[in-house]
Amino acid sequence: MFCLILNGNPDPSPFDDYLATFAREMERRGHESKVVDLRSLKLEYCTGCWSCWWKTPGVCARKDAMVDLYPDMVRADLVVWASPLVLGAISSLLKKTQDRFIPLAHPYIEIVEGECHHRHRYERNADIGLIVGPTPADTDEDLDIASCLFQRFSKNTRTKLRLFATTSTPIEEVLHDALTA
Amino acid sequence: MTRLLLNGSPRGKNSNSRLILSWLTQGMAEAGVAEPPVLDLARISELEAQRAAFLAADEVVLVFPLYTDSMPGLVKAFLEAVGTADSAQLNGKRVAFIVQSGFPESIHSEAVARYLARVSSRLGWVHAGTLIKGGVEGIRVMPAWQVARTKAAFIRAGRELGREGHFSDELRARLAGPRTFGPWQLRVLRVVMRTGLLNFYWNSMLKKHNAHARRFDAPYGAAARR
Repeated sequence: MFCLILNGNPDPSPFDDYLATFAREMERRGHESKVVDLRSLKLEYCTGCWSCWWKTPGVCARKDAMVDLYPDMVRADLVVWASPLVLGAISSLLKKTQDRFIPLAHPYIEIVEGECHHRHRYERNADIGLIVGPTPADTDEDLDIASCLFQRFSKNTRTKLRLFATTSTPIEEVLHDALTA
Repeated sequence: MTRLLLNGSPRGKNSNSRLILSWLTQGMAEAGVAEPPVLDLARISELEAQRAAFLAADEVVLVFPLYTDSMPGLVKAFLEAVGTADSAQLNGKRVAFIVQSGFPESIHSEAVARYLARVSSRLGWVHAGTLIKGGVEGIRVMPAWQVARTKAAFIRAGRELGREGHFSDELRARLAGPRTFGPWQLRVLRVVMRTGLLNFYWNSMLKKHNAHARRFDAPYGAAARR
């Protein structure tokens, strides 16, 4: 399997080491993995122009580092969204990147399990993982909210939230969840 | 009292969030409140000035669209920027939120609304309430009669903020309906979907841009089965 890890850590810290260990262990088990340090990329904000939905379907109007990231996001079996918690939520760097997911979805609405959700543009969307680095100020409630936000994202993209971990979670546990389809 | 309205839509001035803010302002005026300034967070180069205006205000309303099931990245960047201020500059500030979405059900926005209540408490703000409103996509291009009820509700929200300083539970509940669709509503919705009416807006925009034939394009991999 191919695991894409989107590192939304805005500044270098031991959080990066945790992700590097996870990626290395994935490789050791014979799986392809790739960590993308988002802070080193030129990434623009989504402007809500909807070009990707109604002018150039599937193609974002912003020509930045996402151009190289989109093929990996589509090819991946698992995309791990990773970030230290900043004010109890993923960093604005990672959220900015998550906003750019929009071209991978289709504007049409379908009813799935009794709720309105976007139609898939691609045959399948990668499963989702979430790894966060809590600060001493973060409580269980913050972790629960962070997880709930990604449960909604997973439900809307109709994928599985395979793993939710913090930097205190033993790597073995993270690997187990990552490899459980 | 210094009031400030913040538009968290990535579309900036030409957004549904801006339209909602204009209705809110109308209601505030009916309650005798002078028109507060509106800042578009999409003007990211003005973050410092936006932060300063926020810190100087006593009462703030932040409106944004649900974006990949949460707040837009630029809203998070704004929260991070104001979150670095001294607690003395943050404590006691009254902050209200409006989360609007294209999805018709409010369940989609509940997680982010929970976050907004939590971050308000973390930063020492008085949370003046979060309104959730679904089914908002396209309100800028809909005929007046079609948006009349939504408009009236947000004018009322502005009046409530002006008079009481918070949104009433009754209005919050009314705007948030439906949380999810019931079995009969789903049945009707499925029939409506077969007519293509639900995607009428998207199809009309695709046709307007000569892209309807390419609407299922999947440039980076295998397309979903139709």
